[in-house]
Amino acid sequence: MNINTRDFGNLTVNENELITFIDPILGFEKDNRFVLLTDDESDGMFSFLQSVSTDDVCFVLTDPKLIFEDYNPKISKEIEKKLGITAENKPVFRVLTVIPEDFTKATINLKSPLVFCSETKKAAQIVLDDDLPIRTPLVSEEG
Amino acid sequence: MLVLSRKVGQTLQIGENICLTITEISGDQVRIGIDAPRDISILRGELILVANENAQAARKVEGSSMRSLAAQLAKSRTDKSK
Repeated sequence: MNINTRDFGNLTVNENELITFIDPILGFEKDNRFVLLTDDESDGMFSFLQSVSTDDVCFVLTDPKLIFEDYNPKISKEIEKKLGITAENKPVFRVLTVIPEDFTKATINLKSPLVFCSETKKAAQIVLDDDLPIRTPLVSEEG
Repeated sequence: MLVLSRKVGQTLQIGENICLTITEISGDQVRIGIDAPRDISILRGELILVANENAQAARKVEGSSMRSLAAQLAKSRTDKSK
């Protein structure tokens, strides 16, 4: 299928590449199908989660483990079931990144990560009970 | 802010259509039943914060390429870890 993207122009994507959000990204309930795109220039650090139905809905994602090695939040049995997460199909966590014009002020949201199951291509945003900040600087101040 | 004390089983009426019932109190948790018309949106307070932060994350910096900003950010982090 052909889609318009915010940052990658017009693209042809395979239906089987699409990720379906079982529990929505809060505030984006209408966008439940996305495609994950990467850019050579920032690959390994960031990926872009582009909505299939809304051109300008796109999120920059990063792997929280790059910053906090021990980040391994607990997922409810209900979410595990909905996404198809098992002992073999481990959950993959990605966090939403806010990148302002001064990119050194970028923050990530550890409180409400996105959980993906690569096998089923299903995902959800979860809100953790843990006392985690919604904005953690990506570039540490002391450098 | 109006602050009221209520016991389990007691209710609060807000306007004509919304009724809150305190159904259970246990430790530092209160369970509340809400009767309201379907078109009234009810969200746990902390979820509004999450929704706002999500909206922020979906915002593009006007006049800049997000791919380019992400690339510069990735580079600045790699440089630092060297």
